[in-house]
Amino acid sequence: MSIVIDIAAQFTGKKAFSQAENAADKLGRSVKHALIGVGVTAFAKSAISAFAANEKQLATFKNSLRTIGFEFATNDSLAFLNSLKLQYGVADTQLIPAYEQLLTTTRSLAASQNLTNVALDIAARQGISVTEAADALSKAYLGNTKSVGALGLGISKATLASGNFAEILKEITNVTKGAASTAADTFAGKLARVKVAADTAKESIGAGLVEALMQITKSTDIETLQGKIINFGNTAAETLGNLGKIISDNIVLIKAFGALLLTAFAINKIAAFIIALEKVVKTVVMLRNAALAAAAAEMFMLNPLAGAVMTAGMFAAIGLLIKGVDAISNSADKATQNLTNLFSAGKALGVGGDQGGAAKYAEGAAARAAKDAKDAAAAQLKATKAQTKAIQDQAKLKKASTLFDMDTIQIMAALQNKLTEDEKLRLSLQLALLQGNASEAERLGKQLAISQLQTTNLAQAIANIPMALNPFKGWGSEIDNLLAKLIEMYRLLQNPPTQPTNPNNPPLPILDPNHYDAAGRYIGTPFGQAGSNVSTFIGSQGGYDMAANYVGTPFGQAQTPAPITNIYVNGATQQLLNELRNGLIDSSASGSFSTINSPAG
Amino acid sequence: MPTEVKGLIELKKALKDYAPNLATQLDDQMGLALGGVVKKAQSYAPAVSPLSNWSYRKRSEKNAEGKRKFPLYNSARVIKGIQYSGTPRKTNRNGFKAVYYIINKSAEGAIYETAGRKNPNGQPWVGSKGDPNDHTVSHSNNPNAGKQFIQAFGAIYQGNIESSTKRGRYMKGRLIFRAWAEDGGKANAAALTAIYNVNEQFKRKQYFKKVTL
Repeated sequence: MSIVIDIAAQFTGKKAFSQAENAADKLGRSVKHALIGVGVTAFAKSAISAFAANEKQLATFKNSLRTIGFEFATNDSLAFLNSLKLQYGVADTQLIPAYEQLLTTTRSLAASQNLTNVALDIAARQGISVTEAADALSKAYLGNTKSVGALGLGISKATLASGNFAEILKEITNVTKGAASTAADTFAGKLARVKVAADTAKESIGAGLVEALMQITKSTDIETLQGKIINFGNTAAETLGNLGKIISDNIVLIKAFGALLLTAFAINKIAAFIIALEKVVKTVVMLRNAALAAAAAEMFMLNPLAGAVMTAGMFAAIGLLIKGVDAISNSADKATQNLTNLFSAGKALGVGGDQGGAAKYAEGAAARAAKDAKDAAAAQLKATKAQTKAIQDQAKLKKASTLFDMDTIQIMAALQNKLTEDEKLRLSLQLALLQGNASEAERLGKQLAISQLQTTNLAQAIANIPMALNPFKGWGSEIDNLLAKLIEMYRLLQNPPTQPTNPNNPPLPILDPNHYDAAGRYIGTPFGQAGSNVSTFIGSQGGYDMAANYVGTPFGQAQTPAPITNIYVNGATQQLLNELRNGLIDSSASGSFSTINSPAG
Repeated sequence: MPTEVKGLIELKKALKDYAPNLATQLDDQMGLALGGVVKKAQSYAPAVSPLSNWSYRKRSEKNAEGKRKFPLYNSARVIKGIQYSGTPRKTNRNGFKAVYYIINKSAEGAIYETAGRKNPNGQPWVGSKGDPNDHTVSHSNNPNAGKQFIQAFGAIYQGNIESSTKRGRYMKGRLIFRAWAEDGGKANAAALTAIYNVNEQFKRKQYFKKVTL
């Protein structure tokens, strides 16, 4: 333990801040008890009950005394009983019946009071009630000693049998004398005496309460008071029920409100008050909406006996704050001015005032707001990341599900083998198509096409293919030559050859050498050499014509005359002509040479 | 008896955050105000143990049960433990939080400081027969052990200053309370004046800001 001399200290309350929650709870409990008035109500009920029971007993006692003609002694008897009650700690409920029975039996005030004292001694000694002892004495007084003998006081049978009450009483007194006083001096006796005193006080309080209720309710008699009490109870029960529900529904708010009040007012911290004020405003608005203030005000009217100071303070504060909330809500400028005034008040404080805490707390509020915004942004980012992760997980799951696709499995298995690049590409492309991966399929398709072309060198071959040949190239000159020959033929036809007049210089046949005539016979020298003129007659074995051109087979072999079909047409019809043409066509198609009978043949 | 200074904790926090030069100034002035008392209190610590067998020596600090043994006197440790501080302590049972204070930290220093406060002639002697866990009685074989122990320390001084309203054994001592009493309240006044002056300077700097809801 350290020894300390405090130079300067500050009162911070008894662990005010750390116990704010407990304080709020205690406040709530106190308010609840105060509002409901459990203790006071219970005590008042007990006191009034005790008062009522005592009143009833006294009324019965008075009636009994009046019956036996001792009404005049009522007050003296009650005074005597009161003194006994306080002296020995015996309750009225025992003492009055005992005294009443003895007085009824003896019809003597002196005897009854004496016997009451004896009964008290017997009760104290034997540990029985005063009523039982008085009953035994009463019976003995009347000659029935059995009950006295049964008390076990050691009275001789002879005395009991004699029935002499004086002797019996003498022996009883000898045995029990002073027992009541002795018992009353013990701790238990003292407690009993205190209890009797308390009960008496309670009865008095009960009487006072009833009187007070009569006066408060302006009741002239108890019946009127009863009606008003019943009405009060109904209204109070309903109100308490409503208030209890409101408190139960808003217990968190009430706790927070209590903590805010403590924070705002208990620590004399202006800046904290300013920061807390906004929360207080919100809280009070909610409380007001919950009609708590109205219920509290009603409670004040209904519960004057239990009006606890704390309750009053709290709800008065609520009322003030409600007004303050209205003021702030209606006039922001006015509220700002109030705050400025608060700061001015803070400046005016002495050593104990707020020394710059306002600025610090204001900046702290800004920092908290920035922190809140940062937290919100972080939360949003976290949510986005979570969403992204969920999508990724979904994709992974989908991918994992493909593990059970047999086609995919087979492709994957095939890919594990030794494959050529083309085969791999094909499998990959097939896999992509199965998985519905369009972009991958397109990529693989292109890659596969390129690979195939590269494999067969077709790409290079195609790239090296020369320009396509023009099939009509050169046709121009051929056609020109052909046309020139046709023109020459036409010219020759236009100029027929004439018969030479000089035999030494015969005209050349019109046929070119090395050509066949119309009958298919070769015309010219056998080897194209210059020949003598031959007649135009050409034998069947060949020969030279007039222009010395050889006419016959090229090597002189016998000519095979072409089969000649002689068709004699007499009065040919169109049908016959058609048949003829068709026959020629068939012959041409079958490769046979057909000629029309010419003059030469 | 401490002087209650309302808002002192808030002032210290505000100085630290917004006027560190003033905070340093306050620390310096508190050092000047309380340092003298501390030095004087340290000078009252005996250089050697008042009881020859109470002198510090190497031994185990705990007994066989693992509990701390009765501390032995170590002058250096006692002197080192006498300090002043401006670090707020825990709130006491009455709701006060000490902000500036002089403290005697060491166990042997506290023993030397307070021995004989409650029982000037030592605790009631019961010897070895008493309850060993009862620390309100003397278990020594020597019935006069407590008395001799206290007498060896010399007189104990009432540490109340003139303005204090509380007088009693809780303000008695041989080190810091003695020095505090001999100072006559000058250090106390200087400390409070320093706080007041710094507060005034801080207020003149107009650190208040307008805050609107």
